Amino acid sequence: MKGLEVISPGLMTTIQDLGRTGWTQMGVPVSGAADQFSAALANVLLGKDINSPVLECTLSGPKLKLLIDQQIVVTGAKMQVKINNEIVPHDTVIDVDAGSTVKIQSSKCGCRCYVAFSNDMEATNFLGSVSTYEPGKLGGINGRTLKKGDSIGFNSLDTNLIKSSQGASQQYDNSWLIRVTEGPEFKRLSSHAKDNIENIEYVISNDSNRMGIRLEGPRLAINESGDMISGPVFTGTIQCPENGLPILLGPDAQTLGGYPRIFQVAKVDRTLIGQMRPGDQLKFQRISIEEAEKLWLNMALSFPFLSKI
Amino acid sequence: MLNRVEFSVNNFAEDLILIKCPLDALNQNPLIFWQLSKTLLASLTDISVIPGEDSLAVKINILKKTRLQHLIDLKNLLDTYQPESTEEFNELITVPICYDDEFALDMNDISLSKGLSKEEVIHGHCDIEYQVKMIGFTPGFIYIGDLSDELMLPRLKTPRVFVPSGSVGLANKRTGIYSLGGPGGWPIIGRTPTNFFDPMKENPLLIQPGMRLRFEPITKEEFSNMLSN
Repeated sequence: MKGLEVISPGLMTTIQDLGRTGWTQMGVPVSGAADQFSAALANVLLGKDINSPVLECTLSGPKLKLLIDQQIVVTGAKMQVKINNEIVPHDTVIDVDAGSTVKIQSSKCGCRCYVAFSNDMEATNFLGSVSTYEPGKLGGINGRTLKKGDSIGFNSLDTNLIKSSQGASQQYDNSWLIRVTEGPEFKRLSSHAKDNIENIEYVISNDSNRMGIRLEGPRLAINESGDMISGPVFTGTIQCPENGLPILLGPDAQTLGGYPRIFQVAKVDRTLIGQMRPGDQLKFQRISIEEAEKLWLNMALSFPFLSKI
Repeated sequence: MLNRVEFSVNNFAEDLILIKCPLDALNQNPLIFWQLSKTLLASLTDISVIPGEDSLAVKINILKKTRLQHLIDLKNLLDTYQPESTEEFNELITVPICYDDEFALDMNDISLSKGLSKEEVIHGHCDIEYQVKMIGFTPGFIYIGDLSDELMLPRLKTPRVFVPSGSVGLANKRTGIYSLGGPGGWPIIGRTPTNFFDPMKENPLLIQPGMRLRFEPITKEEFSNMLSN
């Protein structure tokens, strides 16, 4: 059935769900929403399965025309949302009449917002997920970002959705304190780098995308001669090439990498990677694996829907 | 039958476990982690795996089962794991490659640092019959080896932000094919028009570790013709 039309696509808007899990042994990245928490929350607020498709809007959002009555929820970065020129709040179920326009603007903090609809968007399913993975042209709309003039159909849902009201509004600013545990090649850092790492204020580089975020700042001294055998990496793995500038892997992370894995972002902070924008500042805080485990278990107690992530 | 292997099981993160094995076990069976990945996926639920050549990572869900229980289950499985003997592949895959300057982004650096002429570099690369060692990185990326010692090079100190699809690179004992365009840290020696990942096909990925493979030099004209077909 008909759904929505794209009047303007925004900077980079894609269809995402929670990712293509179970295929990393074939080199297929997980992909999915860069901020899984916000994507899942949007669906939870609508009473939907957390893995339902959402629109991921990056930095500056799209303008859409809805062709049927619909309820929507917007979560994530506080990019201003206007329905027919009227500002509406985030993290709240909004009734939108057929023929209305939904315009998503930009924000100063955070990088991505998520739009969930009461009906599921129709998208290309590849290996059990509609997540758009642009480098491989997988999922979404022919594996690409939205374009002006696209029309996205909706699948009808016959269930009565039970709305939830889990208050979980997220606030971001332009500096990040990210908790990390030691990675398999942490020992390759010089002792000065190990001692000093928490004091370094990095800046998120413009050369950042869903695959990885490059960090600018002082160069870490590392015992690295480019001769590693490529080993497993994940979203949240922090690699350090010989140039000493760490690369933080995002949702489209490759599956294998040959640069030293110096840290892994704790699971509790991993969804924040999706909200880091070029120019933001970032510092690391080292914690133990036991602490990271405890933090994630506690977070899952507060937000039971996370057990499926 | 191959000998049992003493695997080590280590924490990588609160939801990631890294499995390694002694070097002699790896020398005896270089595809051990590829094989182990299949066994793990068939035996354990709620995990995903990434096999590398000398290690394997397991991603676990610590909300469904404790990290400790995951570790115990893995160790029990590995204690009784019996490696298979390696599958034999008869077919030899031929990969066309164009070493033209337009595609061989690092040819000058490679030839300078190795003290070889461009022709010697090309021969060193395409005169050998290789084996597919691993797949991974991005869909359709293929790790191939072993390169001869004279072509062994480290990765770039700063990885490129973008490497075009089809690029063929070198890193240490491996040569590899970037089937998708994207960031990459391997010095680039040429480009192939063959696409090894096609999501439209029923089996999107036709290559698997263990297969035999060689490169065949082609001209720029042949490259263009093959690409447009």
